[in-house]
Amino acid sequence: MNIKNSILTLLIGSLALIGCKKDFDTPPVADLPAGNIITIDSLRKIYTAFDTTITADLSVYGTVTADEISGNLYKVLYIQDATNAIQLELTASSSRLFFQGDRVRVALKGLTVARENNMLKVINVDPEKQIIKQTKGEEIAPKVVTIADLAISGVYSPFQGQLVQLNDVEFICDDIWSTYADPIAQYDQNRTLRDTLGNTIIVRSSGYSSFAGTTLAKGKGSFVAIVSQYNTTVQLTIRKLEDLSLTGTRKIKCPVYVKNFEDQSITSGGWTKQNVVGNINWSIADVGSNNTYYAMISNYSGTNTACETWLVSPSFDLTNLTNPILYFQSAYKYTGDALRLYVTTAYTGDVTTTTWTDITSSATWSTGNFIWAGSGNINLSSYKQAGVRFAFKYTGTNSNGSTWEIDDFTINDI
Amino acid sequence: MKSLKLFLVVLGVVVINQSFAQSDTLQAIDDDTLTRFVPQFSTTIEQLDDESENQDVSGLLQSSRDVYTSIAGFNFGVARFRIRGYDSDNFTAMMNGVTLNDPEMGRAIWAYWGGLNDITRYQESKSGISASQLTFGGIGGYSNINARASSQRKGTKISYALANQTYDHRLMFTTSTGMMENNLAVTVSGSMRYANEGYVEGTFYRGASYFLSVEKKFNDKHSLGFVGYGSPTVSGGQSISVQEAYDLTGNNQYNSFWGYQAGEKRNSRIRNTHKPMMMLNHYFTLNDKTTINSSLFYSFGRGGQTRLNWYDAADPRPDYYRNLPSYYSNPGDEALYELYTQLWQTDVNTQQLNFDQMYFANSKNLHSVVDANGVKGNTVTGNRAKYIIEEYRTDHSQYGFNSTFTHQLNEKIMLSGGLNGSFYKSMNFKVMNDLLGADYWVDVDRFAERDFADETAAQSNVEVPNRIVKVGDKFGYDYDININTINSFAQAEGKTEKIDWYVGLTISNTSFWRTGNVKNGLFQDNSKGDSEKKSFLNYGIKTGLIYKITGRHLVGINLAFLTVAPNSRDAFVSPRTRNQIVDNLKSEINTTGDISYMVRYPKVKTRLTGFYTSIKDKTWSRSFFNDEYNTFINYMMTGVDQLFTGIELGAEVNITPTIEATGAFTMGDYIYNSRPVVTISQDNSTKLLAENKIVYFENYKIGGMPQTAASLGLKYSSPKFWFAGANFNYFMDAYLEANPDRRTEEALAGFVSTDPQVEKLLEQTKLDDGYTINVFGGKSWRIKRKYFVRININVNNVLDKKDYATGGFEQLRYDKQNIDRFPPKVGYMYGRTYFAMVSFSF
Repeated sequence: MNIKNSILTLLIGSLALIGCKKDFDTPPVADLPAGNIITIDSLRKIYTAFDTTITADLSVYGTVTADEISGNLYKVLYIQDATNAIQLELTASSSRLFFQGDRVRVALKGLTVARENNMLKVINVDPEKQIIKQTKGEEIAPKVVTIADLAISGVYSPFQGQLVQLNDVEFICDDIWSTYADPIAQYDQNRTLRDTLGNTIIVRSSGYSSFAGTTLAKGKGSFVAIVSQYNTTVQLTIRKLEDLSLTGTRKIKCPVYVKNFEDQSITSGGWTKQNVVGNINWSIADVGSNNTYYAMISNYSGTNTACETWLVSPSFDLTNLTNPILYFQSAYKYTGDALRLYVTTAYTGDVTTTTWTDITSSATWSTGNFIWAGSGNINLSSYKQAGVRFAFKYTGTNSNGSTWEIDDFTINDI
Repeated sequence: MKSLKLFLVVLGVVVINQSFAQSDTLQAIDDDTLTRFVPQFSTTIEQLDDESENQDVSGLLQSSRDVYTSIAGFNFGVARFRIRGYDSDNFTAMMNGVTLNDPEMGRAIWAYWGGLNDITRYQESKSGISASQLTFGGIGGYSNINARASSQRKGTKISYALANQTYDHRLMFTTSTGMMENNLAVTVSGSMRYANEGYVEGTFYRGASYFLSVEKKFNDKHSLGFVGYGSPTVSGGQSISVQEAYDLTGNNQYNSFWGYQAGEKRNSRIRNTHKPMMMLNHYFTLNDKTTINSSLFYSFGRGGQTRLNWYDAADPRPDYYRNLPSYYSNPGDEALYELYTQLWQTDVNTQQLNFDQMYFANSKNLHSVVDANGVKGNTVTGNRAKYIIEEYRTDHSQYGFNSTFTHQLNEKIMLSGGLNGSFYKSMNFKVMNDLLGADYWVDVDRFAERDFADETAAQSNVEVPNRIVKVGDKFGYDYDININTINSFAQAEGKTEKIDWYVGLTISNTSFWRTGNVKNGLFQDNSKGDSEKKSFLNYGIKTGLIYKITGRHLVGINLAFLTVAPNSRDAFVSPRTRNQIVDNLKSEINTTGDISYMVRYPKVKTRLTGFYTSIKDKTWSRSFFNDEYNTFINYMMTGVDQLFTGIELGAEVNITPTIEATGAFTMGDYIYNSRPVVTISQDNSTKLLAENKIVYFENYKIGGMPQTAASLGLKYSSPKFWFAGANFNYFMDAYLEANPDRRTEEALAGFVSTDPQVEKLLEQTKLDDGYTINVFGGKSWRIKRKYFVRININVNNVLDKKDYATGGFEQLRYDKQNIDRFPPKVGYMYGRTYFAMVSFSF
């Protein structure tokens, strides 16, 4: 039975052997000594007077504060740590790779810290190879600052590249009827934000951003954005519209309604064009004003064509206004019938069956030769009710007709 | 976990038993139902590896007389269990001594003789290294089906089975004359198997089988036999998918291969095989000491597997990663994520293939092919197919001989040996199966076309450029694989009072080469004609003994050392396009040993075995489609070493004369234990993507099977001719098959040890444990002393557990920054299934 026992021992021994856990083979992988990790603040300081390429095997850890999802940034990310923040300029889009809240390691060897128009950045970063995601969902809270805090000291804004929050700010009245940028020509555009002390700062947005065609938020409140810089101008870069909470009551009141045609649309906001005679129509133009748009109508195209064309406003509710007024600008040239201005409280949907009140004479009109004239404040006190519409009627004949231009149609409460 | 293992060991030891009388329950589990094919490593629709032929050998082992082996064969097959962790090419399947293993892949393809259960159940099966007078055998063991007419049980049997597995209905008929007075014995068998829709949605099954065995006894010395059989089968395939698809559909048997066409379900993967075999057997009894059995055999037939292909069109596969919601899981894509999720949950044309859409696309693609068929000025205009169904054909012909002898040297020593030769040729090509409403397909490589300015580069056949392909035409590629083998073995075995022993030797030669039948545009110099001829001289030695401590207690030891020629399937860099052979192609070196302790009492039989097997210098090659490169990537790894260690315990106990308990337990550790070298090539380029890259693969688990499994069973056999029983089976330690490329220095380049990607790339996923409970029962009646009626019922997985993943693999394609982008593919065990059979015999 000795053999039996020894065999049992052998078998049980082999059982124990199987139970041993062997470690997986591991390919060689580089270590990152603590000394090779630098802070973003140290990274920024690598730049002295010239663009500097990093030759050492350094890495920097940071959290993505702004990504490319809204399209307001392109081939750009911002990262921030406890010490500072910096822009990463990428060799390819990272819109499917890195997102706000991702904690990343950037392998810096071979990358260059550069300064462009006084903006510090790390350039030529390959997002597929040099940015390594560590974790996600680690949002960084914005620093609450004032516009004054952002002012340049020396070369840089002290918050350059960082995520900040401004409280109690609003866009200026001149801007609130505009969109964030020009989504049609896809131009970047600047808008101005103002705090309660009267300090202002530029908000610059890309014409490629998903919110380029959105009209600015009109209220007052908090505004979270990245601080960027162009030469000596400090600018704010919006990450996404959800970061803006401009819903409170404004400090400075703005007009109730403005139609400035800057969106290059006649009909946006509920305006309609109606042809009673002929087929001459209102159109958008910027002749003589270069990128500032207005509505224009002319029956001349080689010859004059008889027409009667209406431009009807959306419906306004003036019930709660104290002292409502209408204001617009006009310009015209060439001989023809004057443009007429009407108002109604009972619009039928058809200009010919609607009862209109002619208020042409309440307005001041252009003196001709395309000289713009303000209409003056047209008193609307007798129309403090719902369903108020205005209309411009243009008429031309086969023998003559003026060219009329209208802009900055404004309803205000004074 | 460890405590559970120990607990099972203890249980296994306590519940000991005997002669696991399989009786007729054996048959109730049909071999085909065990062929759950979760392919081990097929990653894409285009992969040529024949998935459903990738079967385990459990069917072969059920008839083993060994307690452990037969229990494992019965109960572990559903979990894709593999005995000792071996690939099925380590098992030798034979009929009348003729090897049936496919020479190209090395393994036996059970489906070729599916449906002939009445014949194939009479097998001699042994697991592991053992003495055999028929073959040297592989390290996994062997199985020999005795198809000799005179050996078949005389009588006639008709049976009908109702099931809900791969098929629903089976009708089988078998009749054997036994040796008649005219010295003739005849056996005829046939069956039909059918499912309009199988257990898995979108699958179907239509199979017939036939078998004829005739034997003429000329005198006491000579008998001549003929055996012919075939099993023409057409069936619809089942996919393996990513977890997301299972979650979205709420169905772990989700099948991406089918879709609706004009309101009818259509499967894109139809397997259509018929590979008949015929053999002449000469049984020669020289004298009472010497026998010589010789055979001539011939086999031929068609193997076909359809699949979708497309040109200049969106990937139609519903579970392609860009068609799944997870592709839209990034911030900013929330709306698309919602949309895709909703479509996946509500729209069958999103969940499944959309044939109507493919027809529509094909009907709107008017296109002119200039210089069509290589004829200048020949312009063919019509709807060029964007989507097609093509059939990958692997037809073959094989002939050969086999001769074995036995000679009783003296009372104590028996000698045996054999010589066999096989001459095999496979014909590999694609055939246009369905143009899906289009007028034609052009025979160009869509991947090469994008990469090369030179137009001829894209031509599948430069001798007929811009060839117009219609239904029934061969296209794409066309090559033969030729394999010639000569194999010999010799064995001596003996018995003494205390010791049974054997010694065996084998020597063989294998040579193979490729013959290209078309000149490929990219590889004009080495695509047509014969490749280099590769030859391998292999040898092996085995020995074993059983020491009888007493008649009740025995100790057995088996040892073997053998070399095995590489499979031709792994030998070519890209057999579809060129003659190039993998560098450093070597024979595998197998070393194995096991030691057993056996107890044999009338009421208790048990065996405990420890085993150790090393396989060195394996070649591992895979081909998969990568849409980043827009081509097939061929991944060839040489120098793969594997180590298999473990224990097996089997026991049967007759608790009372009517109650029998059985138990089986195994715990293994099957790992890779070398650093193989990998070379990666593309089908559409001569450029290598990587050369001699080192894979750090030591101690990675071999995936795709549970490495620990246990079974406990009870059976009651009434003296009144009925029986009933149940089995509880537990599976653990299964791993996903690891993607070697993720375990390379190159994959980790750019990372530092603290980056989370490093661990993600290197870790190997362990699958959850699973269990099943199976019940079975039956009754037989004898009518007029002459007729027998039997009923058998098996219900597998009675608890209908559908959440046990039986295997899977990491996709070969991966994104090292974001591993989850290409998640592993996994397959799940069937829920509750049944098989009920009634048979009538006389």
